Parts: sequence; structure tokens; C-alpha cells
Amino acid sequence: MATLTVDRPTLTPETAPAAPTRRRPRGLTGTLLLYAALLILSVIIVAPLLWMLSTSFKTTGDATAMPPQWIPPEPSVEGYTSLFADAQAPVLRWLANSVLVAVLHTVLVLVTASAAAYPLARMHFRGRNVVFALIIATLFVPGFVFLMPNYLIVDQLDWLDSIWALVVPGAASAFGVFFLRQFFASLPEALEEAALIDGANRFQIFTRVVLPLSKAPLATLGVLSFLGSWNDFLWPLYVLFNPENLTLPAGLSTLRGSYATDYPAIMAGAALASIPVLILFAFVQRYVIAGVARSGLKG
Amino acid sequence: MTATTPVPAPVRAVASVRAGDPGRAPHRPRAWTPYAFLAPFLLIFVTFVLAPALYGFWMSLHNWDFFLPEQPFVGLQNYVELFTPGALVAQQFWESMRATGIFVVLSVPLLMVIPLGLALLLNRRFRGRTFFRAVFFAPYVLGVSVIGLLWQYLLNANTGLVNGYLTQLGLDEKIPWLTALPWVWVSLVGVTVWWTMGFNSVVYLAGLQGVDENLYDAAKVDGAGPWREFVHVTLPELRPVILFVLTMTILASANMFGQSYLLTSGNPSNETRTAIMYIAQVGLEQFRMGKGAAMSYLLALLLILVSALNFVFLRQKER
Amino acid sequence: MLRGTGALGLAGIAGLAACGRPVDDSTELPQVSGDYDGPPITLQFWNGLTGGDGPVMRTLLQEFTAAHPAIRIEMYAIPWGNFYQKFPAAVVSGLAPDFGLMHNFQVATNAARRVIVPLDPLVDALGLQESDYLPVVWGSGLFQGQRWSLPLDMWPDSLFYNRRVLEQAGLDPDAPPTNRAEYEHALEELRRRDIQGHWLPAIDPQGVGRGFDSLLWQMGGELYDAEGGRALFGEDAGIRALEWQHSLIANGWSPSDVSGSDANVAFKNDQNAFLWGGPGALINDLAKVEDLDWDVAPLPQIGPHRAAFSGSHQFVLMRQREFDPDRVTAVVTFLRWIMANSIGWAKAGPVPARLPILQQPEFAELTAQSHVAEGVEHIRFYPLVPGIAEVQTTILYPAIGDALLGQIAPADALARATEQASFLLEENLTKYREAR
Repeated sequence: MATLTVDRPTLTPETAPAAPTRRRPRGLTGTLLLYAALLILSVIIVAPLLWMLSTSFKTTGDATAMPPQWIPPEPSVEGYTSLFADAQAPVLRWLANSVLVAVLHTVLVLVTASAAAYPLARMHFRGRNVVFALIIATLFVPGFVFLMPNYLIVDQLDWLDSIWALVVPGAASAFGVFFLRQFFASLPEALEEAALIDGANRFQIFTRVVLPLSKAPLATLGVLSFLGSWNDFLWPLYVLFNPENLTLPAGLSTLRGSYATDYPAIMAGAALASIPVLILFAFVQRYVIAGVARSGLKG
Repeated sequence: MTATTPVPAPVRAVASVRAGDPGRAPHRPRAWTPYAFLAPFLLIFVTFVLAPALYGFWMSLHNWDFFLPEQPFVGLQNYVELFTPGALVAQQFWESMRATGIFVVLSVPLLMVIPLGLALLLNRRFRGRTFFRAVFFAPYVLGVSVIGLLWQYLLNANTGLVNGYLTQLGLDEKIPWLTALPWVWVSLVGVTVWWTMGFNSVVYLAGLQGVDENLYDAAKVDGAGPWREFVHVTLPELRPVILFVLTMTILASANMFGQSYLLTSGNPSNETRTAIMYIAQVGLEQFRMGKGAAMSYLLALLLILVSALNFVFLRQKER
Repeated sequence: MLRGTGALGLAGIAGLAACGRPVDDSTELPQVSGDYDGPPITLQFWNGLTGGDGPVMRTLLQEFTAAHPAIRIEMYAIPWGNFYQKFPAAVVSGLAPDFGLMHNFQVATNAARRVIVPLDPLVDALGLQESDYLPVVWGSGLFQGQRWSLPLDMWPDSLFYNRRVLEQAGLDPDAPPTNRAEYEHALEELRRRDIQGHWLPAIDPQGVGRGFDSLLWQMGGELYDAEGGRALFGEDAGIRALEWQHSLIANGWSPSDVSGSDANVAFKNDQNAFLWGGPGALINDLAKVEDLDWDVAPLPQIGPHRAAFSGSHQFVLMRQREFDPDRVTAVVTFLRWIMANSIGWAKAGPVPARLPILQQPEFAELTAQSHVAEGVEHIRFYPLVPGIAEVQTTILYPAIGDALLGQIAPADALARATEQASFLLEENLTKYREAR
């Protein structure tokens, strides 16, 4: 599936908020020990990323020099320039493809999931339980089951090797519908009733009352969808053909062969793929973490 | 994010739907309104989720080679073959299942315990807590392709940073992290822990914050030390969260593909070729899609079974 | 509603099941002649030239367009593994490029799948002559009585040697070993100076097995029987070949658990004296390293015969739903041009397939390439059997790897691989017979 991230856990948040109860550390030694532990762990987490950045500014020789040197002895943008100059690795094109795909995909998820979640939360209609149960049931089916049939379906639609193969198939976000439906159901109905009395129709209520109240969950879902699409790897690897059409993760994986030991160029590619998401994450980490945190809370 | 981890929460949601309690006083709209709202989603859902789920099963009952002019119906033969001793496909499939199994057994305990420790640390009140939480979570937002490229470089036996430092520490022999047993498993598990521990920590953390502070006070009154407090208050209170994390982590580990594909290419001699990797090879590289689909369904069935067991276990404990 | 949704889904499935997509192989190439002289046209050319060979091919394409301004060629290079997955799918889905380049050992497979087309209608227009090629190369494009591909080059595995390392060990850098006695003597001399002279890769899906193939042929063995129904690599010659490889490690001439890139890096750092490998992969790679003193010679003769694994890049035309005579004419124009100018391709490392090119003075100027060409009459190709590359890379090579990693005795590894191969060979025979 398009945004299927078979490598990683997926999220199923609930809307129950967390009650923050924090425990104090014990005494000065305790605090120092705590900081020491956290710092060591942070180094383990951050060092590889810094090494990636550092290597991307090294010369090919320095990249494999021993002992390791953290500050490039002769800073160089060779890695970046050789990558950009390479007709076989149109990295900027990949970057643009990835952004386009992730944005379109995210928009499609938000529009379809919120529209579907609203009637499931607020309206009575024939088949509602069945539809909702079906959606929930698919949360239980591992994504790789869809791999081969969807390949054939996308082929039949003549979508192979086009961005639609990445944007649309994964956009049926059962998780998104479930997540937003729970939130919509928790909203007070008084506001909607007032709008109804004012003569608004359902669609107006949805766009003018419900959606503006749902910015936080929409942001969470949006960010998670964006990340899922941006990082997807397996599916683009198989449905895209032309190097020009690849997304960054799929494209980067092809660098392994051609740049076997040109580490500055490879790390430049890796840095290009990670810096945008790390910056995005820095700004929206609240939503991401909130979304993940809710997933485990008792339902 | 169509993918699909069985979790307890939605099940309860199903139950509540059956009970017929979506909101308190639903308005009765015009008959077609809800369907109009649902239509765009359902169109995609039916085409790319519902249809393929059934279509895949249909494929698995055929000798579905992409290049053959006909795809003859073969009944359950693709499944039977997976259980025929001596058949090459069976050998390779179960070898890949074994690789997946090894990865699950090695990675899941670490991904349960380390993030819990991390969450306990982060659950204290101190300056910079949000910052550290974000740092630990950060690798998770990077895709597996970046993780693969980065660690392939770091773990290179001859030129990698890891062996570079080990040599400085006086280790004479270079460790073949990505090419020989058992190191390949150490690498794959280690990288996965590095990559995803922040995710599990954040889930645990939310659970810890939900634990009633009074319980700790009560334990203190009883004269419990930190260890007994942990065993008698924290763990029991976290049980639902722990089971949720367990289910999720088992599934994520069983779905492992990218790490092996990028770091070890399944080497040495297919020891680290996981089930998903093998299925993708058979189905989308060799185009023996019927066989590939049969393997997907078998693996999916196993995973659903595991989730169901976890779920049953969770329900029993809650009662 | 359930009935509604279910019906929708089922309708979708019925629709899909009704239109499986076999390759429509009724289309045939039109007869064409002469150079293309129509309006500007852009051709699509796919291949796996993602390494140092890619830029060389792109330069050639530019030279061609300079000579034939009406024809522009867009080249898409993706790693070979992805190429063999993607291009057949693209043909089936009607996204096929006009032409491509592929390995000789994949031609039969793709011919059987009918995703490429027989070139027989073009033989005259291309001016193909049997006498221009070595018999094994000429024959490598013929399958089931039809010509499917046009050989561009050949890349025999050769002995790359680090002159400085040999000198350090008191060996003559101008006289690389040519037979088993000399080779083992050199390795022993190197070992006495604490240099492991032949880093033998045990982990590398591509390169590991090719040394074995060369040795098996040198020992007088064959990989498969004539029709590709049975694997013979587990017989005596194969066992001796693998045991000799194993002895390199056992005698301390090679470290254990080496990967292809380890051996390469060690060679570049003057820690390794010999690399067995193809000129396409190594000549430009090694030339890039400043201050590396190396040369190349044909593989030493370890067994009773001379033989070296070789591959060959070959041009193929992808099957189209409909062939446009203009496009075909333009492709033929290019192929004719590159066959006459393949000396330019030799810069990428491989030896041109057309023997007359090897007589040109410009070829002698390419020192490394002409040293490789000295051994070219002894090259061997995989047999022309559909699906054979898969048997080699998914069954035989991993078995070689296992044995070299010391996980299993050579004879046992080969026996196990022979048994596994029998399943795949049989499946291939049935499958590709049906596909015909």
C-alpha cells in the first residue's frame, strides 16, 4: 500500500487525554544520575545523525579515515555537488516528488477520513454499523496482504509509474476514520444544534463548526500521514519505474549500488532526506507525540 | 496509514457501535446525506482495501504468473506446496519465516524493556524533559531508507565508525556486523531498537502518567521501596499498555523488511531474508504472484492469531 | 449496505479476473532499412548502467545525437536488479521503453517471457556478421532459432593485481602468476610477509560465485546439462573448484568472512594483492584511486583448462503493443552507429564484442582493456536457459557463500544446492514451455 509502513508500528490513538502526574527525582545525586543517563542515551541517539551530517561535508578519503574525525579536516561540498550533478540520481527531482506525493496524500487522507468520520459519529443511517465494523476490521489485516493485488489493480488503472499509485491507494485510512470519528463523537452537540437552528445544512455545519473545532486531531492525523507517505519505501520501490519518478526513499536505496563507497555522496542524500522531516518534527513534535501517546491509553 | 495493527481499542469501539451509541442525539438527516459524506472514502476503501483483500485470496488459488497467458485455477495447491517437505518454495519460505521469528524473539523483549526504562526516567519532573523526549523519538521519524544507508556506513566492517572505535578500544579483530552470524542479528536488532525505542517509550510514558499517584503514596505508607513500588504498583497499573505495546511490537517486528533489504540484503546466505522480503521477491520480482499471495495470507493468518491471543489475554486480565 | 459494498467489491474482482494481462506477442517488428530521416524523435533506452559505465554511455549518446540530430535518446539507468524487475512489468503494462541493454544470461529468460522481440527482421539492416564475433558471443543472442539480442561487449573475469604489494613481497610486478603453481607460490610469499594476497569474497550476491564458475570450467566441469533440466555443478569438477577456493582461506591466503567491498577496499589500500573481477566493474573504479599501482591480466589457469566467466551486455528491443516503423528505424540507426563506434564504450571498461574493433589502434591505447582482451578467447557464458540467472544467484551462489563462510563442507553445499536447483529448474522448464 502506498503509505504502508510495514517496517514499523502503526498508530491507533484514542482520544482520552493523559492526566499529567509526574514524579520528582530524589535528591541532588538522583538528579545528577538522571541527567547523566539521559545524556548518554541522547549521545547514542544523536551521534549517528551528526556523523551523517559530518560525513556529507567530507572528501571521499576522509570519510573512511581512521581514527574517526568528527570535524571534516577539509570541509567539502563534493558529496552534494556530485550527487546533484549526477544525471542518474536526480535527487532534487526525488525531493520534489516526495513533497508532492506526501502533500497530496495527506490532503486526500484528511478530506476523505474527516468526511467519512462525521456521519459515522453523528448520523443514523442504514448500514452504519456494517461500514464502521468493516473499516475497523481492516485495521487487523497486515498491510502486505494488499501488496500484490493492489499492484495489479494499480496496473489496471494505468497508474503504474505515476504519482497516483502513491497518493491514492494508501489514502483509505481506516485509522484516520476511526481516530476522527472518536473525536467528533466527543464534541458537544450544542454548537451544531445552534447552527442547525440558524438554517445551516449538514455540509456547512461540518466545514464551519466541526472542522474548526478539530484542528488538533486533524494536525496529528495530517502529520502522521505525511510522515507515513514521506518514509514509505516498499511500495514505491515496486510501482515506480523511471528514475525521474522515484521518491526520495526509493531513490536513495538505488544509490547503494552506484555509490558503493562514495560515502559523502550517500550521506548527502541521507541528510537531504532526513533534514526536512527532522525540522518538520521539531515544529510539530507535540502533535506527533500526542498522537502516539494516545494510542496506548486504555480504551 | 492503512496498515493495520490489531489493537484492542478499536475492538471496543466495535462493541460500542453494536450497542448503538454513537452520539447522544443524532439528527436524522436527509437519507442520502451520510452516504454522500462517506462516498469518497468508500470509493478508495473498496478499491484499494476491500477488493484487494478478497482479490489476493482469489489469486492465491491460481497459478498466477504475471507473464503467463493464462492463470489456471489450482485450488489450494499453492498452500499445500508451502507444507510439502523438500519443495524448494517451502524450504525457502520457512527459512524466511525462521528469520522473521528470530528477529521477533530477539527484538521484542528489548523493545519492551528498554523503552520502559526510558519512560520511567522521563516520567520524573525535571528541566528539559520535553526536549529529551523529542530527541529519543527523533530517529523514528526518519524513513527506513535513511536508517539503512546510515547504518550500512556506520557498521561497515572495514571503514565503519563502530569498528573504528572498537579498534581504538583495543579490539583486534574487526567485527563483521553486516556479513556474518551472529553479528547480523545483533546489528538488525540494535538498529531497530535505536530507531523505534522512542516510539514505545512515548506510549509507555502516557501510560505512566495515567497511574494514580495515590497508589504510590499508599505503597509508601506500607513502607515499599522503589523496586516493590515498581513491581506492585507500576507494572499492574501498566498492564493494558504493556499488552498493547507487546501486540504492536510483535506485529511491527514480524513485518520487518527494510532493515534486512538495505543492511544485509538477506545475507549471509539468506539467513536474514525475512518473510516479507521473500514474499516481495517471489511476488513482485519473480512475478509468481499466486505463490506470493498464498504466503501473505498464511503469514497474515498467523499474525491475526497472535493478536487475537493477546487480545483475549488482555480481556481476561481486565475482568 | 453490506450487500451493496460486497457487491461492489465482487464486481471489481470479477472485472479484474476477467482481464488478466498476458503479453500480446502477435506484434512483430517491421522491416526497416536505411537511416532514420524523419521529424525529431525521442527514444527511451533503459539499462542498469548506474556505475562508472553510465556516464560513458551518456557521452556516446550525445555523440550519436550530434551525428544524427533528429534522434534524441533518453537513457534511464536503474540498478540491474531493479531493471530486471521493472522492465518486464513495464512491457506488460504498455510502458515499455524502445530498447534496452541486458546481460547475456537474462536474454533467454526474457525471450521466453516474450517481453523482448526477435531481431531477425533487422539482421540485414543491422549488418550483423557472424565472423565479427567469437562463437560463444555470437551464439549468446540466439535462442530457439531466433536472434533476440545484439552483443555490445564482453567482460571476462580477470586477474587484477596490485603491483606495489607484489613488489613489497619480492615478486615481479611485471609477471603476474599465470598458473596454479605460480599463483600459490605468490600467495605463499605474500603470506610470509603478513599480507593476505587474495581476499576471497564470501558474501556478495553478484561476485561470489563467478570465481567458482571460472574454476569449475577450468576443472573441466559444466554448470548444467544441455537443456537446462539438471544441475551438474555438484559433480567432481565443482567440488574441486570449491575446495580450491576454500583452501585460500584455510591456508591463510585470504581472511574469512570477506565481502566484495572489503576485498576492493583492501586492494585500494595496498592490503590485498589480487582481485578476480570484471573489467567493467573494476577498471574505472581502480583508475579513480590516486597513487594506486595496478594492472590486469587474464585469470591464472588453476585447473587443467583455461576458462574465465564472462558476461556480455546485449541490446534488445522491448515488445510494444504496436511497433512504429519510425521508432524502430531510429533504434536501428543507433544500433548500427554504436556497433561501429563501440571503441568509445571500451572506455567504460568492457571489451567490445566485435572483434574488428579490437584490431583498431585506439583499442591498444586502452592498456587495461587490451590486457583483459588477451584472455578473451577463453571466455565462457552461462548456458542459454530461461531462468538460469535466478538459479545461479538464488541457489548456487548462496551455497558457495555458505561453504566459504565455513558453515558447510564444499561437497555438502554443492549437493544441497543441486537438490534445490532441481526444483527451480523443473519449475522453469514447465513455466517457460507453457509461455511459448
